[in-house]
Amino acid sequence: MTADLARNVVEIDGLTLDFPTYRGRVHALSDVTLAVREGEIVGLVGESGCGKSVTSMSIIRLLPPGSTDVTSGTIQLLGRDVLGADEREMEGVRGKLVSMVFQEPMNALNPTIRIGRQITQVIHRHERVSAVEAEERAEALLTEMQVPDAQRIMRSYPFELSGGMRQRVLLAMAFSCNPAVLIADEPTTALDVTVQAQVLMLLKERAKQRGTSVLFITHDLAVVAQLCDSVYVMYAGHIVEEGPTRDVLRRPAHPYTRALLRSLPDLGSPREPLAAIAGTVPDLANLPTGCAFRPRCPAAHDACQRVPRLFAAPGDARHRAACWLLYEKAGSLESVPRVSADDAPAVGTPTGAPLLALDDIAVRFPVGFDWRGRARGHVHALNGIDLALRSGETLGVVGESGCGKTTLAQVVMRLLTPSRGRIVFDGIDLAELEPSRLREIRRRFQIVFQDPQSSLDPRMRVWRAIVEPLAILGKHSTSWLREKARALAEEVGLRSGQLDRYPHEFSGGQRQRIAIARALASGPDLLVLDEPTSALDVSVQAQILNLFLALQKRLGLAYLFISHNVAVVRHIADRVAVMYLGQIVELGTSAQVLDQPGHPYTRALLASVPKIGSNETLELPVRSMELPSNFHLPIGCFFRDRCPFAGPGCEKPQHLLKTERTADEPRMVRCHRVRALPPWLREDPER
Amino acid sequence: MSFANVIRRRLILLVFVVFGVSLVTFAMSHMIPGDPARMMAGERATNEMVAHIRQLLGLDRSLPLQYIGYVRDLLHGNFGISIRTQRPVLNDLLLFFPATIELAIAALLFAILLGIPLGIVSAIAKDRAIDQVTRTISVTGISTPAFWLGLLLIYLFYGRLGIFPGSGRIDGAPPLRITGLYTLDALVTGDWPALRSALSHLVLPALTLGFVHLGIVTRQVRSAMLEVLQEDYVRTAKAGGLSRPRIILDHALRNALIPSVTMIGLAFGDLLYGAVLTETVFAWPGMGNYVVQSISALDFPAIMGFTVMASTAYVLVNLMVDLTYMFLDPQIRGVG
Repeated sequence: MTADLARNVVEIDGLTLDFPTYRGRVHALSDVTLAVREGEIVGLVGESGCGKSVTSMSIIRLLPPGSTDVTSGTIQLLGRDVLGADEREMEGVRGKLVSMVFQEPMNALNPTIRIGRQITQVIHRHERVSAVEAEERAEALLTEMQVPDAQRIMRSYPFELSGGMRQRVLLAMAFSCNPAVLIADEPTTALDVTVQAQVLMLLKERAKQRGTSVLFITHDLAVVAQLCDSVYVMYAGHIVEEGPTRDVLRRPAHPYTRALLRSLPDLGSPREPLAAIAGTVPDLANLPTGCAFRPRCPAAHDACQRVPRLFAAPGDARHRAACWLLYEKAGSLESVPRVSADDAPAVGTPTGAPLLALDDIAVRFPVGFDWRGRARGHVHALNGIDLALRSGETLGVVGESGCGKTTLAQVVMRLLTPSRGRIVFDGIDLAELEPSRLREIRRRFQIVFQDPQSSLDPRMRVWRAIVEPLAILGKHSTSWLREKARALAEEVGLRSGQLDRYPHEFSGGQRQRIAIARALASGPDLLVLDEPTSALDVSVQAQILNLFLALQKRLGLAYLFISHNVAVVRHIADRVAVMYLGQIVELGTSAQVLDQPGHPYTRALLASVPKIGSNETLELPVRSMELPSNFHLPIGCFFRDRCPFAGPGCEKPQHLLKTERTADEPRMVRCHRVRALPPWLREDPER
Repeated sequence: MSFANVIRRRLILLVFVVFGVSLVTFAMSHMIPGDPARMMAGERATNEMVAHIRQLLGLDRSLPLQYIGYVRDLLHGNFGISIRTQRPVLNDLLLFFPATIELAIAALLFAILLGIPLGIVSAIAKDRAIDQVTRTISVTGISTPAFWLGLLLIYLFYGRLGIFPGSGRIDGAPPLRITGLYTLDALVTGDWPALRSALSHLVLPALTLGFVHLGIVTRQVRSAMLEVLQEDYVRTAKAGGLSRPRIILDHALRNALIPSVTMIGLAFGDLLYGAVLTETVFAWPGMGNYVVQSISALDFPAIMGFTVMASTAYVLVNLMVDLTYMFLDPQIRGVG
């Protein structure tokens, strides 16, 4: 790496920044020092609220004027002072020297302006070119960003494009004036993994080709591993560790980085409790004295009451971490105790007749009504789902957005009546039940949703929210209900003293515990978990996953665990179903499906998941990037148009075929060529 | 969906709306206790005279027959004869309706043309002095009774300053009649003295009638602007280096206007009914006075005529609202 000779494009030195609010000063950034060298891709990683976005927005002064108060430090862009520049000067810098790509591609483009004009606007702002020239350039940029049919896209409006396509448009816009630096703030977090893989590869290739430096902000360490040359780890407004990516991820020196890496479910050690980080991120208005990580750190000692500066860490000279242990040359970082998890692993040995059986479930939604109120067409959300789940078992359902996962959850909960097929719960056909009996049986299956912020009534005290299902099911005294709420709260690890508060007074992880307690209230046999950890930070996700495993062991619950996150599903599920376009394309034990995937789609999905420790090359796992429409279903195999192995026979409808039989677990793949496919080469993680 | 398609659908809808409104109005006006024939005949009339008049007016027939007869006449463009004025209702409508429409449009234009810029300025200068002043104006507008404001304006601009006339539609001869809207007719025929006079007569009543809606439009545009300025795409535009005026006018305004347009359509209906008070204060020869008198005289044909006209105008204005929507929002247009 010749980066040492390269000059710094971005230089932040000792930046300390507060948000003055009515409840006091929020210390968003504390003494942040960071540099991005020419042509380098730098990761800035941390959990929500750590200050990574504030840092990136300060570089081009995008934070609302007047909302921040910089108490010390400087920011320099190619030697120019940013903090002292006037607004007109900054307008000339934005989009020209530094451009930015944001998280939500769905909202980042103006819905009322054509794509072409949104790009040419930026070109015209910074360069004196003719209208025709600008258009030609925009079109070339779109083509460069692998937007098919760029000429047509130029004339389109944003609502006509998918999320992945919009992010390509935003990249084209960001590269349009050849900026020296591109700041990418979680640009792929809202995208599906197969699309994420494509966009990341594109970003990396184009940046390297053009020599553009990138500051890449993310919460995902695996993405950093695949993309970044060097990385900064942030915690509570402080840089806690920095250095070349390989050093930081292989030999993390700061206890926070180490804990963060260990709290990631990876594909390696299923059903072991994860090393979750105890507690939550501190309140930035009320930071602890000394090291900000001190209250959660297993190695905290007296020295930690003073703020540590960055000390050299083992390995590369640029690898440094803000931890007194390094200064004390304890060298015994290895002695940092592992955060203990509360329970031993539960080994699922589910037996017996299925608790839940789905038989040929189909759901279609009518769209576009004519004047008689008849549907003009249908969205085919589920197309023949057969599944069985036994008590005490966890069945994981993975798939990308639009594959029908959430519809499946709603069908199981009987929130949605399927257009076809049977749902049998514990031998009872739910479709044939009269409403009163259905109400009664509902207590035996409950659901936990993705976003505990919106799934809890903001005006109901927490203890009431927890026991509401009981209050509905029968008449109980308030004191009995309160006692019940206390017991349930204890079960999920909430302190009973907090139960008179309202949901907004809790953190995301605690709110999810409340939602789980509420789901447990009626004593269910089955919990449907619909992306239950997707809105949480990884350290908190680990706590919740551990809780699920412990609860299952104690209460013998069955889980239908729905997630887009393959690693999480691999970690928690006994068996896995992979969904694509409303069908199950592969079904088997987690080890079978996720270690030795058979179906080409499962392979593509797994190849797209960024992994820490895998080699850096990303390969395009699918041929075309767009999911086919479930308005006009493809004929034959649904994956045919994107499948790299497609061949004769794929034009016929595919059925789930048994490929092997271990014990009594059939493994099913919906591909007639599965035996002819090349063996799956699993990359061995270097760790 | 194309513009032509929307227009066609709306015109078909118009038939149903007018039919429905006329049916309801007809039923309701016949439910009101009272006998127009007896009122017309006067206090000393004998029962025979009343019965004769009733027969002349067709009131002796059953209600369904009366309604069918009314609709049949309406389809031939015959609105019937007013019981009160004894003139064809259509003549009365053509005389008074344009005055009300002219006033309502002027009031609406005043509210929109002043309200939108005020809303924008107020949003941009949020919490600064100019925003406080604007918000005070809009709250005052919403909470001031129209008749009081009207009297105040007359006292000030007519009584004390003598800048604007305080009553009537025009001094001297009205312009050649084309649409019945004096300002428009004067403009088309090039009758400049009439235009001057019509405009100056229009100012105070339009201000009075439009002031409430000025307040509403300002508030609506302000809050929509504030919301849109928080949107991700505004941040994208800012990150591209676009200047603030450019972002506000090109990126934010169009999106902020979309919710405001609905409200403006609803406001027009409000202005038609709200005109009654304003017309009284300014002695404006519009529908307000005519309708009030017709109702107290149980003048069925006149009431029905007004209702049909008003609902037609309302549907047409909402057609314009829909077209404006489509112009502003490509997703509604469904362009490909």
